[in-house]
Amino acid sequence: MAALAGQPVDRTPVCCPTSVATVELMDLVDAPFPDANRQAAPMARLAATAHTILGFDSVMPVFSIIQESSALGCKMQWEGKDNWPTVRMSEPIWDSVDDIYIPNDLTSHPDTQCVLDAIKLLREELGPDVAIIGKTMGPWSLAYHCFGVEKFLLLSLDDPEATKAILEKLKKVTIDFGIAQVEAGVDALTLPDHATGDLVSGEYYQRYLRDLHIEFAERIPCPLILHICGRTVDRMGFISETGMAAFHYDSKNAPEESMQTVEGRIALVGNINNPETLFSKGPEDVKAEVFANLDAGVQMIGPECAVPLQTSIANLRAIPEAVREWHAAH
Amino acid sequence: MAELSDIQNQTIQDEIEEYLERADEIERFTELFARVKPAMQDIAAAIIEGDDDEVDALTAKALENGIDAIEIMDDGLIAGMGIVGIKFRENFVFVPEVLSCARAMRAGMAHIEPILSASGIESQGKVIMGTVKGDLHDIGKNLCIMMLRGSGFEVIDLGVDVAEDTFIDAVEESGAKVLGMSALLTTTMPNMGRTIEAFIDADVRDDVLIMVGGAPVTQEFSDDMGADGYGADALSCVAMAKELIASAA
Repeated sequence: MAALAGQPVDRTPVCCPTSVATVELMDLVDAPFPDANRQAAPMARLAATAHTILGFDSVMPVFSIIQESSALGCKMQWEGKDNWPTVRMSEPIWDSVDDIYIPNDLTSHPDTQCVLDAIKLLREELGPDVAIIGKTMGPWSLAYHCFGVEKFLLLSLDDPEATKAILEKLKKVTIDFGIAQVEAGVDALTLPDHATGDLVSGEYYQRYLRDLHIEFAERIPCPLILHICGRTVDRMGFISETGMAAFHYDSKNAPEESMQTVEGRIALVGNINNPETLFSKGPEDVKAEVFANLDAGVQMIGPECAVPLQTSIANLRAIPEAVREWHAAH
Repeated sequence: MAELSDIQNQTIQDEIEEYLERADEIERFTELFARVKPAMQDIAAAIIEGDDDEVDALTAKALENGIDAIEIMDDGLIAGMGIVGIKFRENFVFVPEVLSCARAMRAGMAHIEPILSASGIESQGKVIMGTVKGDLHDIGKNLCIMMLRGSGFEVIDLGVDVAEDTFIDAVEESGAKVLGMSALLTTTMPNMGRTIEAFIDADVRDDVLIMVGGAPVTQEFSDDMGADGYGADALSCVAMAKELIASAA
């Protein structure tokens, strides 16, 4: 928490703002997908492994990005143990801003309530020394789920005012679910909002999202960690103006370049590569990426995004091991 | 050698000057647009600007004026998408702009395709595309399909969450020589390799050349799973499809 507050720390924390759930961990605590995405007890058991088995300094009970979308009525594909659940974005539920309907019981829907219950279970089990990070999705990501990616992206070009109206309406979901998680006991929240460099420009982030993200930082009463995948250096300057505590960044951005871009205005979390390193290589390669982040002054270390479900425990444990080794040597 | 000033359409001149950086591409597009009719330059400019109404009107007018459908497709629509592809590759434009240009392309092709079908003119080749089993993401695949169609390929889109058998059946039924698989998730990426193994197990691997792509997919991963080609983006996908079609001929 000190790292999120920009205060001095004894050791750089190891953090999982998205997900470190794996099939191996599911087996160890008998908490497989999809149960661990829909029921509080297995959700909490699987989340706790980030600390109890992997040695991370935080836990994250939300392993995917679909809990709110399910509560909003999106068509879901829950999948099995070896895959993440996904929204069927080719079957969007809304066509225009007028269609948006946010139910009053959004945070008591079974797929959101289970998150709140899991947070309470984790707080009881882990006590105050492990940071519990929750997750509340940003309006840009929610719009992909509810309107379809292509339709929403085309709308953003054709009708900026309608796009802003959609985001303005959807922000209630982000705020309400975020506050509900704070009340349930989280220490911080990840806020994924996929205005990724693979899809839209940095100017888009500034035009559509920066002000909303400033509002989230003001209205949600806990430190926020913004997560955007892909190449994001072109928007890190805008992101650093939001007042959020940290930015969870992707390995497509070099640590030093990223640190120079944000100029200390926001902490960085990341950015160990998933597909090529954590999934495909060994602990020594993982450690090399951890060292590169620490050398650059990155404030919290963790995977760049939700880790592949087949990632080995040995590779994930290499992250906190590397952090300890680096500090021992410095 | 043609000069920029040989191109009549100011938008095309500006686009080449402002966005093209590689000498070979500047030369190729300058030569191309200096050669083609002003009406084709206008269509290409409307494609680049993502103006579907304008492309619709200009394509209809060009056909009325007796310009050949193939000429309109090659010198207007495809030429315009060529510039769009380069701007996308170089991050001058992003997905919303490309989607808009692809919509404009479709407006033009709506006039051209019936004529081509009736005349029996062959496409650049037939390509099957799909997102692998367990993965519902299709934006990358759809961009590739738009660029492939914009480059004159016939594309069979199998959609998302495509099972191994569905890929095999599609290849066997269509006779397509190239198959493209996409995945966005690290959990579904290995299903590309499983699909390739299914082709081997069914003894039909030699019937098709397989290319792969998607945000987490790399050249190394592509090589490891035994794919024939990898594309990092939609433009690379088109180049790879051309290369594979040529090697299959």
